[in-house]
Amino acid sequence: MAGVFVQGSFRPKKFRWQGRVFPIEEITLAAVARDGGILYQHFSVMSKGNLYRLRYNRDSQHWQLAELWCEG
Amino acid sequence: MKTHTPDSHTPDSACWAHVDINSYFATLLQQENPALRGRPVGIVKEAGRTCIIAASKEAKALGVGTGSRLADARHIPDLVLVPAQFDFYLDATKRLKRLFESLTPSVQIFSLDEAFINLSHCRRLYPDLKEFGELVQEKIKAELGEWVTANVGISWNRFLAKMAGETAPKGSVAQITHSNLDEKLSTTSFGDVCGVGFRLERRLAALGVRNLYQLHLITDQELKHYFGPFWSVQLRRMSLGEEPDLFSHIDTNPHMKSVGRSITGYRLCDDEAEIKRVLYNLVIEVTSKTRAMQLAGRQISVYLHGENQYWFDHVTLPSYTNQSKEMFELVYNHLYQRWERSFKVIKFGVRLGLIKPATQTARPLWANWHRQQSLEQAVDRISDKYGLFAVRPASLLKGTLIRPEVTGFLGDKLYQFGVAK
Repeated sequence: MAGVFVQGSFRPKKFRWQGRVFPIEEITLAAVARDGGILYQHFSVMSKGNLYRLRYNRDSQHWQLAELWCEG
Repeated sequence: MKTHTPDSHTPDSACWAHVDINSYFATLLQQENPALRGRPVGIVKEAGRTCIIAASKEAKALGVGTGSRLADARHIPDLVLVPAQFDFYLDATKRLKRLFESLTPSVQIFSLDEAFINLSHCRRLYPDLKEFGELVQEKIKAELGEWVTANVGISWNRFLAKMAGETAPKGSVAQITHSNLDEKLSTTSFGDVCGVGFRLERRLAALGVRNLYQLHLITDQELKHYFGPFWSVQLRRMSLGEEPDLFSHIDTNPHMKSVGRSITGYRLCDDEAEIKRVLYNLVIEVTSKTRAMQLAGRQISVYLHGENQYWFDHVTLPSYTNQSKEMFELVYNHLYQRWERSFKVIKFGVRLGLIKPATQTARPLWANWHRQQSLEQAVDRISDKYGLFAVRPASLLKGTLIRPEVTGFLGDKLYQFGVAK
């Protein structure tokens, strides 16, 4: 994951998944959720016309592609 | 019977704004996913559920709403069903709370998607109320996204502010003033009146009363005769545009009155081990939440529902508890054993009531109790760091865990905004 900090908040700009780079065109939703002491940051992003839900574990500093929107 | 005072939206008079996000659950997911925008969307609790808990405005226009069953929505072939994202909704509500509090210090969160903003003491900052409403709508879009719209209702009390918003077109700002009060009271159906449920509405309809203004034609004695001493007073207040009692309880409780949790399963269940596991799971959530708020209760309730039948029982203890082990023993070994097993269960519920701060309760003297309390507090410290159920009983190792979730009416807002920040 690569991104920039804007006014103290992280904004993802592109991510690599399965060897491919996905540029992030738009962050449609950002949310913070907590499970006990672990803080998760969620980013829903558009890339090449598809929606990806990315989740960042602030404790382990690990990024995860949680979901990908597929219709059908 | 009281008469109206002259229109008094002067800078120093009482003034409330009610903000209601339109079709909150669906709108946020449409904001998230452009592919859903403009389409009828139905929100279900999880994939596989058959009850629609929320719908987009497009779906509502086609007759699908909260509580619709999937079978009832089959006439809409392009209805998109999406699982709810309660984490997103709660986070958005917390951000809205901060946003409203940046406008005025007095904000009351009414539910996950509604808030009351008290402008009474800062009218000079916002002399034009319509502009204030539009400012709120702009800030909501800036905070949550362009697709998110809200209704803003404004009046001199919360009851009328909410009514103004409920009866206005979606995404608009509306006011109830003294000059249009009678018109609003005479044209608003009881479905849009906060505090009047469908049973009361039916009883009013039986008397030919279809709106609040018509109550002016009924005397106080007649109201008391038909509706009793409590509702006669509430209805009279509402007919005059005054707040009924339920508004006086918003944000005035120092702590929750009870802590409960219920869950509806996917299928009917008569497996004893499964029922026991579910009840234990729910008890752990209730008691850990109670301990997190430093409360304790002494009335323990359990209810089961299935096959159109319902069973409920409770016990009131002489002393207070917030221990999972103690509550579960009472729920399962005491109350549940009284049930005749006359139906298969699809909905389970447990509740701890008669609550007060734990510091105000007497602690038992026996050592076993203190040992158990220390154990459960140690588990709480682990849960605070690694999440609820990071440490759990062996009986919960198998099967799917039932995890905490937030509800639309935010009955546990004292917990969500106080402890679980």
